Amino acid sequence: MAHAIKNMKKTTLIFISLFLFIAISNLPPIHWFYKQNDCWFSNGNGSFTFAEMSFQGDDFQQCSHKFLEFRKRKLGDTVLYRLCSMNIFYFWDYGEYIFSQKYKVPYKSWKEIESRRDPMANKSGFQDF
Amino acid sequence: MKKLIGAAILILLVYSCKKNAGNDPGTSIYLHSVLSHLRDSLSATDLSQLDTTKGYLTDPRKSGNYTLRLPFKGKSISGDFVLLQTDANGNILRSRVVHLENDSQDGTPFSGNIRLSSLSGMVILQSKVSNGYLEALHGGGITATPKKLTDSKTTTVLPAPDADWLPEVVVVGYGSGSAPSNYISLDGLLGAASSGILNSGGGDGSASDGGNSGGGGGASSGSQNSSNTSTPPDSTYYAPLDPSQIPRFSSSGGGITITDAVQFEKEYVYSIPTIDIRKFFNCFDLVPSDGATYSIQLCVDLPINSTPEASMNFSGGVNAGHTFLVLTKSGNGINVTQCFGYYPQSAPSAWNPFLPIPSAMKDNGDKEINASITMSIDSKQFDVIKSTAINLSTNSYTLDKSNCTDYALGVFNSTRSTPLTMQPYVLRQAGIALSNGMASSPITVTINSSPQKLYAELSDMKSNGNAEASNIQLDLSHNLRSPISHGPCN
Repeated sequence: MAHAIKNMKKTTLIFISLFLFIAISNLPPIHWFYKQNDCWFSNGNGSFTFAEMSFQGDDFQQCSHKFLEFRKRKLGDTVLYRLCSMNIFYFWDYGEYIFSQKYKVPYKSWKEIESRRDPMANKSGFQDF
Repeated sequence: MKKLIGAAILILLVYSCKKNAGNDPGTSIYLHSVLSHLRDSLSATDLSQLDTTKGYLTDPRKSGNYTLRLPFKGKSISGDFVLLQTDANGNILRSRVVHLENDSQDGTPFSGNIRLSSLSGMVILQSKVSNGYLEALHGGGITATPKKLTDSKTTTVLPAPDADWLPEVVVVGYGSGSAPSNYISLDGLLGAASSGILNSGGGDGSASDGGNSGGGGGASSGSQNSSNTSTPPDSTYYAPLDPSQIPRFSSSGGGITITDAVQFEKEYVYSIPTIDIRKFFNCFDLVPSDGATYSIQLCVDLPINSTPEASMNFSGGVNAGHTFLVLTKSGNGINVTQCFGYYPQSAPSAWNPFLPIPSAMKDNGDKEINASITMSIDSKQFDVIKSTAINLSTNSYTLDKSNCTDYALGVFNSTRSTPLTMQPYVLRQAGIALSNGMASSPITVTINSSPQKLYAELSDMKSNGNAEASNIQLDLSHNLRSPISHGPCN
């Protein structure tokens, strides 16, 4: 019995340590020291594309604002997709996956979007790429 | 049982260490074969000038190519070499004589000149190199074709149409504290690369294929004619420009030094999609110049509107703010507006944020404006602004000396008799208490030009009733935004 309790305590301790490790690795000062989670976005046919560069203010908020303007002008597909996928092994990103607005946007692969994209000679003002 | 396991491990070890002698390029047979083929293409005098004792072969196990560099006697391999692509038996498939002149300083991207010749001495390409790019291939209006992703492993790669051209020469930071080293795309120079830099459709596979140079299209149109090429279509291998400077990436064998090849995938090279600033300026030609009016607007986007002096916003990432330009030309009822700014290709490293990194230009349409100053200009001033904007865009990005504000202000001031100036932004980090009871010395960082101080300057000008006060707009409401850019034009 005493052995079982000891084992349980050990397991609990391991779980708590693991949770704390993941939580700390998700904290902003530590997280930003090794990674800036910029993501790229597109609508269904690539007529709207946006590349985040949060370091200089081109964040998801700006992407959303620009996409609203795009929708107002009725220039193409009206659903925004996230092009960066979530990775279950990137435990340091779990916080962003849960709380960040940009990860609430549905994911679609660029390969699929690009196959539906019209040929273009030049980008429009709504296309970063 | 133990003996059995031991024997199995021994067999595995023997097999894992075994080299395929037939394909081992580091043998004298390989070099002998290459040289015998070279004798057919090079004159005896030229051949005698080659230093055949210091050949560098890019590791074929990594790149899938047998790419050999032979220097000339008494010359550095970083400046002059014969570049050969061979098969495993030493038969020459492609060849170039390469001459490079690097005018850039240490730590900055390669800029200078390049000359590519055939073995017979015919000049194939002569070009200036700016920030690693061959100007002759990028400034001539080559139409890029977006790459098609064919490899399932690259589904997360996000190709940009303008990003089809990987730089032919790049700078790679080599760990913290050590000097960056120049790497070169040998495949690109040979015209056989996945990047399609010099492709013009096929190549005949002969040793004297001096004619297949210049203006190839995007990579998707480029041919991968080498049967022994296993380079993935969305990546390019780069080799150190001067392998002798990177000993830990080289290994000798059979008279040839095998150098490591570094693979760059597109998503790694292109951290942000860039705009071709020349193509942005091309669109102004849509407006007839007779009677046209021009204006330039210098805009500031603060990281935290409620605290204009704050250095960064740490909410949802690291945001240091931005300074950008809005250029407008109007006439004959036509109006063209372009918004653009200067960026690092990827966010500066938190470990060494002041390290020079390659820069990129980005469309800044629909971006928040917290402060701006507008200036009317004439066509001559517009031309000065155009040339300054293009020239400054080739500089490396350095957070404290060549950032977005330095760029925008440099362009804006290029036509002003009284340049706009600002106070430097000084960040002070207090000393940290150490375990021995002492404190570390405080750290002071000075950034010459910053969005925060530009905002403060414009704010002062407005409140002090400066002559240009009426051209200054201040808005911290998040509602003032730049117009949507016209986009690039050919």
